Amino acid sequence: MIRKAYDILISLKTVFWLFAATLLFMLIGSFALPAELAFFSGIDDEPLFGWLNANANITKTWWIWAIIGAIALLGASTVLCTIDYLLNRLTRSRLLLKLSPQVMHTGALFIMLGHLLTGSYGFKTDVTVSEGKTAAVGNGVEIKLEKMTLKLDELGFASDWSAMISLSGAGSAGASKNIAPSSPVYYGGLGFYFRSVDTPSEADGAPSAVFRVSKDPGAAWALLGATLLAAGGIGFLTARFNLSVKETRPRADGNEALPD
Amino acid sequence: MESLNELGELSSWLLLAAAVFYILAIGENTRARLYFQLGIGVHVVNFIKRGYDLGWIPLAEKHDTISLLALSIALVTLYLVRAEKNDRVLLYGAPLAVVFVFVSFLTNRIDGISPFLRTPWFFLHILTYFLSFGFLAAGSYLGIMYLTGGDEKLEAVQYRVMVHGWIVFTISLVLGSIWFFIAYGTYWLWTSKELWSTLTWFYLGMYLHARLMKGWRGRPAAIMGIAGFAFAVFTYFGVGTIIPSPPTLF
Repeated sequence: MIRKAYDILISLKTVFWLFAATLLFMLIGSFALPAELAFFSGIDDEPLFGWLNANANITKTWWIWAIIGAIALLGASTVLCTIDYLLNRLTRSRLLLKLSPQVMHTGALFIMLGHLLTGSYGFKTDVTVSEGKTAAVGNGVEIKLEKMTLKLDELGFASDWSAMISLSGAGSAGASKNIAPSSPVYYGGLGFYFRSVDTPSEADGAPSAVFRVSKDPGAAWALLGATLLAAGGIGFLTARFNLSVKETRPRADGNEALPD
Repeated sequence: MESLNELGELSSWLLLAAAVFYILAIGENTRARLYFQLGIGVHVVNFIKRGYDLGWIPLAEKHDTISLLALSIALVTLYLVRAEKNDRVLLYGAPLAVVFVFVSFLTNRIDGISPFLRTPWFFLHILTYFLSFGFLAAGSYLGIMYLTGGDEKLEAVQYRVMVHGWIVFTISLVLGSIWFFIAYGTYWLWTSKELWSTLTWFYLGMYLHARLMKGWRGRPAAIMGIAGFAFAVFTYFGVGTIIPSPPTLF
């Protein structure tokens, strides 16, 4: 029984159909998301599993569970295929060519792990702070918007902005840092991202800023996975660049193997 | 059609000149190859001039990215002409480059840039994204060449080109995730656009695995390879227009 399940999971045919299933569920999701925009509007504002628990409407979210299930099976298949290849089929010749796909597989697994951790244990919130004011952001951390610099275009819209912020709490020494779009600040285990600005009206005076504050325990794993995925890809191209595809030879089961 | 109204600008004339050279290159002889190389040269000069005019790498809006897509197709086609010693690819690569140059003229040109895009990660993401499109486009026309009477080698070359496309596409998604994390604090969004980008990546992964399976080499793999470019093009042009992709975060 276990042997049979193992054989099924390492079969290329299984991988093919798992890819096909993932594709199908993503395709359905790409239509379901805009069709139910009000329902899905908060999905990116909190960790996935927290959102799924709070919005337990299986008729609307089944395709997300189906994607997670198909990718979990793909992950299991990837683990077994990689172990099987390394233990049973790896030979010393053309090592880079043979190891690169396994490095890519490992990278894909780390990305899955990253998504799992982010979706399970992440933290996200938006904080609006006016210039000169302080706001609590969670984890015992406070943010004070010291000074905001706004650049307006000819129509009066903000075209660029940055701010000096002070951060304190979470057992860390206080810090003053400059923050701008695509130039985040990290403090007390949290990431601070400058989302938008509210330009001041003549009546209320002080400009305010919206910061996305997040804690992402999966990001480092996902980055490690992405690095392995890219490195494995580059390794594969480097090894294979000048190789003719005709050098490949069939395996005993009729499927094609990488060249020896 | 805003771009057509601005043809007086040197960069637009250069792009038009590149298209003319690509049209002249639709052939199978040495002269065609020369025109094609001239077209690429002028296209690269256009890219540099446009960047000089804007003050940043011109990859922040559709006019420029579609132009880059045309340039990528041309560059990969030239690589195939040289590496495979096959001038016939010009009959497919040159018209495809022309089509996308003219599509770029049909889009509104925006000469501004959001502060969220002013990071090398974004530009590297876009550069690799459209370079991968060049490989996928070449994989697509190689599949058509094979299906319309080409020899077996063409399908093998298609596979190799698709592997390049998938790996460059993978790198572009990695770079895009890094940019998005730095800009917005997340590396994934639940939008139709994001789903289709991932779907394209999964489709290409499925194609590459399928071709290793018994009985999938040849015609089935060639057809799957052709569809790979269709997925990529639909993700860029179709999602957001045919399938709405309103952002959930902003």
